[in-house]
Amino acid sequence: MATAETFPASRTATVGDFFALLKPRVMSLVIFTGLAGIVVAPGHVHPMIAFTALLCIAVGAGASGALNMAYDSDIDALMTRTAGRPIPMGRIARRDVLGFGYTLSIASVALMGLFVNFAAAALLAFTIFFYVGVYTLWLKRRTPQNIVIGGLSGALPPAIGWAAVTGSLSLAPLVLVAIIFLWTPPHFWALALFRSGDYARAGVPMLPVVSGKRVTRWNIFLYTLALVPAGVAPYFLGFAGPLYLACASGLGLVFLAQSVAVLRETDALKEPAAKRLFGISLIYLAALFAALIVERLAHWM
Amino acid sequence: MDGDDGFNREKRKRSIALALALAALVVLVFVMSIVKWSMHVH
Repeated sequence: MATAETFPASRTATVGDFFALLKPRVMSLVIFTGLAGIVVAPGHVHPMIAFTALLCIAVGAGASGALNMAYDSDIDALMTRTAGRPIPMGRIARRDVLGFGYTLSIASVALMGLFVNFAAAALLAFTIFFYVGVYTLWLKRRTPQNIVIGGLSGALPPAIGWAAVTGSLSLAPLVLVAIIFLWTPPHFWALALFRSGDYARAGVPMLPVVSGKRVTRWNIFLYTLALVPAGVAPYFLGFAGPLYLACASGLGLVFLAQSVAVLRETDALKEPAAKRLFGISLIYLAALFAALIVERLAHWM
Repeated sequence: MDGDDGFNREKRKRSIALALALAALVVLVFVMSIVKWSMHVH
């Protein structure tokens, strides 16, 4: 009698398992920031081209997530946060995930090149390569600067969106990239503070594991100090309005105050301040890009 | 034979999802070809 246990892993995988490989929560943030790049860019683009560009950004991000899960399945199995993913759970074979990820990567770049433009396709290809080749395969297991340098791949979607409309890049999309790039270290190091045991067990050299929590707290504070002025820059460069300025400055101060709370944290076991900072960082980024989109939509109406 | 039933059900769902994804891709390529053609004409 054939049972699920006698089949190779992928024959027991559900549609939901394949969907989980795309890291839908990360994908939603990528779609959001990519959309901001599209709507902020000057000029007009056919709605179907904008939709295709956004679809390609989403699929490319999902493909990167799947390839990351394939190459990191050994360490995912060792960490509480990732042990429930489809490969460590034995529901999908690693080689099938590699095939799934590379197929989607090639398809997303090809569609972007065919129906949007070459610049956006080249940027999307570079983003996937940077996340999989540079971050996942090279930096992640070698240096505590992994998420700083690797963060560039997560920062690029607004530039891809902008390039999809204009066919080129300028200062404005690079400022949006800089905001996400500076946001990434405090966001992930906050997570690493309250998950440091996980990372240590898996042998991933995150900053709290390699340099200790005190150094990590100072790094979070310093990156936040750089992030807050970068966050308000779009207003002073003229491509964001007062709603954006209010969100970026108000939430920027909340972000900064919480980074000070992380600096002064006394409960190194539970890290409540780092947990709050992690949540605030998500709200901060979502609010900034939502404000950009809302202001542009209001301008069109 | 519950294992067989579950396996066949999931296999059918995966086949439907793959067919829908491929159909969506064909529709997208078709629509985008028309969009590109209309932009070229205008």
